[in-house]
Formats: sequence, structure tokens, C-alpha cells
Amino acid sequence: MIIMKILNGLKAYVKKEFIEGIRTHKFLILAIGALFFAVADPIILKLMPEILKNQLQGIDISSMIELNQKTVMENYAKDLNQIFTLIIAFTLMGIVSGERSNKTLTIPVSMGCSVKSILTGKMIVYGSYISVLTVMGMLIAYYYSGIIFEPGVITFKAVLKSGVLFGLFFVFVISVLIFLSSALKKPFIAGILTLLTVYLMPLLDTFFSIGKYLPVSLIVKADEFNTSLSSEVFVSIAITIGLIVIFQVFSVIKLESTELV
Amino acid sequence: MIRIENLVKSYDYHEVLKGITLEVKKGEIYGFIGPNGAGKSTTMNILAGLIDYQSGKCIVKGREVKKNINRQFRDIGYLPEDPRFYPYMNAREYLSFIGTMGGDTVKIIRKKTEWLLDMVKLTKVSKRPIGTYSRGMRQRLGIAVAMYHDPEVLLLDEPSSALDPEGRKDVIEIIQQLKNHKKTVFLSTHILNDIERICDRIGILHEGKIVVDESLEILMNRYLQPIYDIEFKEVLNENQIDTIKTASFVEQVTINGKNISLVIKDMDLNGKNVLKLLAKTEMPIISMNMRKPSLEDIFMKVVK
Repeated sequence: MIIMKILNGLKAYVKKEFIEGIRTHKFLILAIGALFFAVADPIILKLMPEILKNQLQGIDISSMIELNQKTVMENYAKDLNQIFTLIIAFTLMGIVSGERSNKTLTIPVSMGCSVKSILTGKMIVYGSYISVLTVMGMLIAYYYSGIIFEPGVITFKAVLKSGVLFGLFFVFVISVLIFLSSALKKPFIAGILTLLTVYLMPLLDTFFSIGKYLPVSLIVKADEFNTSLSSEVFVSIAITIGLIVIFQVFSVIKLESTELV
Repeated sequence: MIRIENLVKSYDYHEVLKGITLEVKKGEIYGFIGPNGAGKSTTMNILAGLIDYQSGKCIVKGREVKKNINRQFRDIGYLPEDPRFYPYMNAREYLSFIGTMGGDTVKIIRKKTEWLLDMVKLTKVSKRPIGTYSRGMRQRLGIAVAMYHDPEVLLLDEPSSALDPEGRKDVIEIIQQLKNHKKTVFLSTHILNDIERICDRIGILHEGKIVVDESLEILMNRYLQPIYDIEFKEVLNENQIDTIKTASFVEQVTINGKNISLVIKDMDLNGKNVLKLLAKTEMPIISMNMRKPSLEDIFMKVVK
């Protein structure tokens, strides 16, 4: 009975988040954020020596910088890490806090919808959408860079692996965002704190040397663009999944103790 | 159906509900009134399982209501004071969302949606985004949502406050229909006229306490003023006036031309003698009214 209630609530919220993503253009903004650089980076890097040549009065820098498919993929990975994280945080900053301040959760919760269903529905929709976007972005960047530059420097399998690792990292970002958005009523503050958490996380490595156990290590592994599946990768994946679950549980506890009126 | 015993709710150091006790029987429409900030919405939210409370008991259909515990889909329908919906959805989508949450099939959702939209007169605008609705339209949709699972108990927080006169009339009619279907309705409102029209019992909440909890009939009788306003065909002469004034049960007589106001002692005991006394004047009577207090008069008297 309780499981059925949770599943029905989950089904309703998955559908609701899907409608919301389309009608409030969140899906579109996220898609542009992930895919724009996938298309633009190979072209920009191809044209960069020409642009710089004009600006540096005829000095050809192409001989100084090595530009190939790997450079493009590394550049795209950097954009994903820096800019796409920012886009995710600001697009989804009201994922829960917006609903709290607008009081749109009052009726569903009063009708028996479980907080677990609500938060899991949000995580499923945005987590899977962003993961798919990230893998798609990687593959598009790989395809274009293969056309524009000499292909074959990195393999399709390595790109796929990097896309999946990035996708998992972004699911972690969403779990942090959902937690902070559940705890805070102001969406903007939730967004800013999420960015601070993600961007400042590498500092923990400086003080405690735990870099390889942090979710940001997934980005480091993704940037390598190799096919190796070392035990370190699996440890990072396991820890990240564990943290996603912990943040999700904390979000449920926090929201259940909040008066949604 | 609903029983509240010594319910206490505080926010920090402010005690909103100071041990309220009331009972709503099955099929009864209970009007819950009180000034702003008295704690009406807080009581509603507690009954809806949305907020917790410090002490006391809150029992709906034999189950104790505690936040997040025992909350059921179909037992209780709740309309918040200011119902908020997802603005990008339309009314059909929102009702479908509620139906999916309750585990209904697509066929049942469609059937219920048509019936409810027709009942709250939103069929014509059912495909418009809710964000474009007026407050009154949102209120109607809120009633439809509260009634979606045909619950036995309905908690309606200010259901007609944002509606125009026609909308208010519709809502009153809907609540009267619920009464015919033996639904238990716990309703709070500022519009005392609505309460007079539909409620069986009344609870007045003042400064976190229930100061009146009576059936409407008893309440009206209790506050009934023993004053008769009589209009005679002609102005009474001195003998006729003396006849009235000297009656043992008459306390006060006010004369204004052909109209007199008669205050009598002990309404229950002497009410039956008034007509006999007036007959002694042998003057035709054009009209005779007993002054009835409005609920507003009673409310003002009680809270002051």
C-alpha cells in the first residue's frame, strides 16, 4: 500500500517535471548549455590560429600550439565543468525552494503525496536528462572534432566513458542542489551555495589529500579520455553514488520536517 | 468524524492554539469563524496533516492526525486559503496529476475530470494555463481538487472569500449538495452570511481558544433579543398604551407613531402572552417582527 502510494506519487511527479521542463524552457536552456559548446568548440579551435594571426600581425601560432581532436575534447570538458555546472545551478536553483516559496507543494502533500516521490521524481527527470545531454554533447564534440581535425587521437569508447563520468558528476551536482534547495527558501542562495560546494570541493584535497575520493575526481578521470577502468575510477563512482544517495536522504528528512504551508 | 481535544500549537514563543476542543459529527457542516490571526488556518493545516502540533489530540475518522503519518489519499479533501497550482499546467492536466497520484486509471481520471470541471464551471477554460486564472477561478479549481477523491471529510479554508457574488452562490450550492450527500464539512470563512445559510454548528475561535461551540439554532436562540417590533393600523390612544405598559411581563415600551417596540421579560415564559396582550388593544396589526440577531452581531458580542 505504502509502496504503491510512493510509486503513484513518483509517476505523477515524473510526468509533472517533464511538462515543467518543456513549458518553462528549462530543458531547452540546459540543452543549449550542453550542446552549444559541443558544436562551437571544434569550430572555434579550428579558427583560433587564423583569428590570432590577424590580431598578432601575421604571426602563425599554429606551430606553437598543438591543436587536434584531443585538444577540442579537453576544451569541451573544461566548458562542461565550468560553464555547464553554472547553467545547471542557475536553471534548477528553484527546484524545491521555488515550490516551497510558491506553496505549490501544499495541495499534493495534503493529498498524501510523499516527499520521497516528489524529490525522487525531480532527481530522475533532471538527472537522466542532464546525463543524456552530457553524453550527447561529448559525442557531438567528438564527431565534429573528427571532421574538422584529424580523427583517431582518442577513441569513441573513451569519449563515451568520459561522458558517463561527467553525467554522474552532474547528477551529484543536482543532488547537492536538491538538498540545499530543500533546506533554503531562497532559490538564488541555494544556487550560489551549490556552486561554492562544487567549485571549492578540490580544496579539500589540499588539506586532507582525499582528492581521489571526491566526486570531482570523476572530472579528472573524464579529462584523461582513456578507456582504462582502474579500481580508482570504480571507487570514485561508488563514493559519488553514495553521496548522491546521502544528499537525497537528507533532502527527504529536511523537507519532511518543513511545514509546507 | 472530527475530534479535537486540547490542541496546542506554538510558533517559537507565540501560542497560536491554546488548547482548543471541538467535535464535528458525521454529515455535519461546521462553520469555523474567528478574527484574523485567531488560528483558523493553523487548525485547518493541522487537520490536513500539513503541520505538527505540540500537544492534544486531533482525530479524523478515528485516526490520529500527526504530520506525515497516516495521511491518506482519499479520506480528506483540503482546500487551502490561497490554493496554488503549477501555473504552466491547465486545469485538466492538474486534475490528471492528482488522479495519477491517487493511482487512478486514465479512463477514471477523464471521467472524474469532466464531472468536476462541470461542477465548478471551469469546463470552458479548462485548457487555459492556470497561471492565467483569476483568484476566483483558482478557488473553484481548488474545490474540484479537494473533491477529486470524493472524500468523506472536507476541510475548506475560506472557500468563497475570493469569489464574486455569483461564484459565492455557486460555492454555497456546492456545499449544500455535499450536505445532501452526507459529507462532513469543516469550513472556515469570514463571510458570516454564508455560515448562516449552510452550517449546522458554529465554532468561534478567539485568541487561540474556542469561545462558542453550539448548533446554529441554539446559538441564535441564546442571543435572541426579546424585542418585538409592531406596526399598528393607527396610532394607539393612551388607554391602549396603558394596557400594554401595565402588563406584568412588559419591561419597556418605545412608541414611534403607529410603531411600537416591546421588550418583554423572560422570553420562554412570556412569549406566548404577547399576542393576547396586543389583542386587548383591539387595534388591527399591520406587521409584527421579532428582532433576530445576525451571526455578525453574535460574533461581535462574543469576541468583544
